Amino acid sequence: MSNRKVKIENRNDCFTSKINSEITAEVPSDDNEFLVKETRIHGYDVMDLMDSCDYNDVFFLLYSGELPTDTQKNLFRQLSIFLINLGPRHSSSRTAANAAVGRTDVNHIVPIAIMGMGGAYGGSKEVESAMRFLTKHTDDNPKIIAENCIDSTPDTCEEDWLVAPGFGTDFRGQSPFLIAAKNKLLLASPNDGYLAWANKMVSFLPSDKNCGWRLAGIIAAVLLDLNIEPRLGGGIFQMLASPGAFAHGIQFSNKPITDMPFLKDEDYEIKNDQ
Amino acid sequence: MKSKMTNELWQFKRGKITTNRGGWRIGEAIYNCGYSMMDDLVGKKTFFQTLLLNVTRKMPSKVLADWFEASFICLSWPDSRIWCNQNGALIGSAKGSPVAGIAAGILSADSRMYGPGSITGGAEFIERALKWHKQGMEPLDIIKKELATKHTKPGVNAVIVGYARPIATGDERVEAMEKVTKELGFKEGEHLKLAFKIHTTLAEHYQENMNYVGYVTAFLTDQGFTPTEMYRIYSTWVHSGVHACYSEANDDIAGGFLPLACEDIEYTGVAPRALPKRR
Repeated sequence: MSNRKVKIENRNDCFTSKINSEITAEVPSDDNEFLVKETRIHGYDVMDLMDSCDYNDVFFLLYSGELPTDTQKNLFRQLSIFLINLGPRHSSSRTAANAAVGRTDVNHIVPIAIMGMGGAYGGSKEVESAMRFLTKHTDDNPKIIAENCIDSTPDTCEEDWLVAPGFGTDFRGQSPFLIAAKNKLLLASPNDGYLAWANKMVSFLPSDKNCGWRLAGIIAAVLLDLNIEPRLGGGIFQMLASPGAFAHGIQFSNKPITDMPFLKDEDYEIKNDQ
Repeated sequence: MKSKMTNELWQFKRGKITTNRGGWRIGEAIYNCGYSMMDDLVGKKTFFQTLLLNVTRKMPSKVLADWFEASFICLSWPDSRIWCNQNGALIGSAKGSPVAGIAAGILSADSRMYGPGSITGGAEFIERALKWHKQGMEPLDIIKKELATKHTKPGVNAVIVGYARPIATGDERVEAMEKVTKELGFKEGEHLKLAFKIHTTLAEHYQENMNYVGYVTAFLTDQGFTPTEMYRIYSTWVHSGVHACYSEANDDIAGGFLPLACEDIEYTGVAPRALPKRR
């Protein structure tokens, strides 16, 4: 037992004494160092940004450090409108609605909705994973990657067939709305970019088995075409999709609990098979 | 199971729930995995027995539930410098609700570096390591092989999940839980024995030690828990310490927890600039 004993010692890591920020410069007011008289984001005065930019410009500036080019601005505008409302059936809207109709403090509805969109199936985790998949393979031949994906994940289950993060079947089908949005985004994205590469790869997936695009694959490719890193992708997806989830939730905050389904006992089968 | 070209799996589940976990039959009983909560659990089983039952569908012995309770105490201490605790304190200081503060603290510990987020990595390592050991690999070879894989924690130096710790080397909680394990009458299983061999080898060659996650995951793998079950059971692992830090900061003056003046932030970005003319 004696060789199991250990001495607990401080690693004496050299921690910084101040928080660094590459994003925001705050100039303190003359008489109170906790208050600000001027704020700049990546060098630009917030007052000037308020005069001359729209919300998406400054959103893009925050994460990339620069204002978007016209091409980026158009692509980001299209993406943010596409994502602003994932609809009342998405788990983010449903978690928000359950909270709201249950009289949860309305200040918690957005964080709850965001947690509802964090998953690896239709959520931000799938977006992040799809971004990593695309980043890893974008220099490879899309036909070979498609074939490898199919070979390594045979279609043997009843649920969705996911050949790679962001790619596969979608409720065992392909959504016409998603495909239409993808085609529109393709027109606004670079010809040699990630969305174009992914589009080629999908063309080698078996369409007769409805294997192709999932929401996360489209979002991942567009975010990469906007030079957004995979580690940021999940969070940016969450922020862009939050308005619709909150809207679908908050509409129930002043409604009776009977305005949301509560299954009857005959539709709630308890198997007491202990 | 053969693949399906249709959405009938989802169609089948529309508008109904079939559960083996339980539910409320109004006027009859509340069921937990076949037990009647009011008749069989309340006052008869501990909270941790009920928690484990709800996760695994199996009623654990009281000693195993007591072991879990001790293991929850160990991972959660009231030091508001620790990341999850500090988030609880910041929300307390901003006069946020206790539920928001504690929930944020718990979510913060879903981390690859510490807390429940590191459970899966630790459990999968010791399962892998025992397989390698049974194939003839010695602890040092296991360590070298694992350090060369993608399973290690990211950072300046690769480390094995469950066998290093931020801020300090060594882990006082391992010794404390060893005592609990013995007092409750548990024997060391093959995963835990190997974990200690890796621990001593690692200490000799790499100056690192088994940490608390390494101990817990090895012990529980021997007890038959899967990595998924461990992750689910320990999802709220840090909450007691977050409760403490939230409460103290919430009782203090508003904004009184580690307030920051403008000069406490070091700006390292680009110099002031004017907007481009086109805008």
